[in-house]
Amino acid sequence: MDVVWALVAAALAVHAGYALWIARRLDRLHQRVDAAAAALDEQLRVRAGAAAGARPAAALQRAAAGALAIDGLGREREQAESTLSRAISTVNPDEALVTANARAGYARAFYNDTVRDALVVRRRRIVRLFRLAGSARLPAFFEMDEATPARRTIDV
Amino acid sequence: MRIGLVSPYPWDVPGGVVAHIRDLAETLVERGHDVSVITPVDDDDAEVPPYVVRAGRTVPVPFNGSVSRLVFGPVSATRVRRWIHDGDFDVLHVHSPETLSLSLLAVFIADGPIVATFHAANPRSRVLALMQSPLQVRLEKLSGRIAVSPAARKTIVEHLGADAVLIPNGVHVARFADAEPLPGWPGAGGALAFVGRVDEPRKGLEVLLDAFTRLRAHRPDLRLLVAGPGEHDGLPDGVTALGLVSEADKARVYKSADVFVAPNTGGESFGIVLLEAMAAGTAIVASDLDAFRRVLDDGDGGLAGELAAVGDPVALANACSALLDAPPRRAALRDAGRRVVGQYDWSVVATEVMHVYETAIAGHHGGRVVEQPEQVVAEAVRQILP
Repeated sequence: MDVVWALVAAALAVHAGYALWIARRLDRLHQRVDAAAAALDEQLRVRAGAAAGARPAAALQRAAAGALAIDGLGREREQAESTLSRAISTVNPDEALVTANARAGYARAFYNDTVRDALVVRRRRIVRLFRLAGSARLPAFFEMDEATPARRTIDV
Repeated sequence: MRIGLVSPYPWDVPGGVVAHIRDLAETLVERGHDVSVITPVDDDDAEVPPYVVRAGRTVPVPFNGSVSRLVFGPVSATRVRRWIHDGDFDVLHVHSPETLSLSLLAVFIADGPIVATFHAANPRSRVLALMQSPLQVRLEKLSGRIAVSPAARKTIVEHLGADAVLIPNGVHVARFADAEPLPGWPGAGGALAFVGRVDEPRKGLEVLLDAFTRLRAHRPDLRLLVAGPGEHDGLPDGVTALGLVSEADKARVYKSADVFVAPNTGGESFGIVLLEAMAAGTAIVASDLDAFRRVLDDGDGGLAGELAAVGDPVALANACSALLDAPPRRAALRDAGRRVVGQYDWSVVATEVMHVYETAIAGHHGGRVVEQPEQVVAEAVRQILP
């Protein structure tokens, strides 16, 4: 009987260790998602700022103001940033806007990468069963249209 | 910015990834950044630039159909750890972290923002398939992922379930554009050039030699310049093999030909040789590979080079023959190539890489919202125990 209990205890210990490892990993992933979200928010604001300061293009400035008016990374923000992307695509952007637009694109890609990483772990049975994610919200992708300004090049 | 670059492959063995790391490092140094590269070096007597830190020798491992030289062990782990600690980098940029190499070691050890560039395009890699789960855990640490080609990106998506932004390989356009042809080349009889390993079947030198022999039947003075490492027996008349050449001489090789030929039969993720030929202003005949089509795409629905069916010496000979007889067509391809290659100049590519660094650094620093993991597990244990 003692042997059986010892085996059960050992199995429990292994599972608890595994759960702890997954929980730590998930905690790291949630931190990454939050940090990437903060970076994305910041880069989008910088982009909207650069667009607002660009040469007089009423549609561009309106779109920039619309994007700056929204907090968080929800549906409304996605739509406003998409509108801004389309407005940027119609102008010949200055260097500051090209840079801000590129950084915003990378920030979105990297944010979505971390969200994907986190979701893979969140969907595991052990995570759902034992609520290893704690109170952390389920991360969500940020979907928007990207602007397509002229690619950088050099004169040869 | 303090930037640490990690190379998985030995510095003193020529290869695309090493060349990429060297060019990136030099471009960033020129811009005033503080750059350090840790890399295996196989020959203890090999001279290395001041920004290079040696991590020891490599061991050969078969990978992706050819032999990779990798390094992975306690001694290199210690060296990488010390390098990361002493370097105090703002960002760490590892290359090909999907290989068992210094790059993966660095990902294990480092804590700060890490950017990774994926170079390989392996549609079916057993190694990657086996490594998928353990790799995913490590690759979660990456703040930014770059793929050098759509094929490399597809490999990441399929094997690692991750995505990456596309930043292509770069080329120092001016170095190739300003090079002088080798003395006596291309000459009146016409000249072709090939750059790549001569004993690597996928580079396609055999197909080109077959095509060249056919062309020589009607053009007795045609010559072929071959530059690249490796042994090859019995080269036909009219072929000049230079073996491994310096970077400066490589640029001159492209300039020494009327037509640059890329007869690759596959396994090509990107096609850096095409960029170099375009930078040098040499008309191109290339195998009809997806990777080559993409690089030659002029953005207006045209191509900055002629394509020939893969592995078909007759088609290759016909394409070369047509170009050799049409100087105006060569000039048109040269102009198209110069327009295409501008967007691949290292000045442009390095700016994009810097944007990735800046974004990765910004994305690395942030707050935490969930409870301590130990509390979460304790809570879960309380729930299941009576």
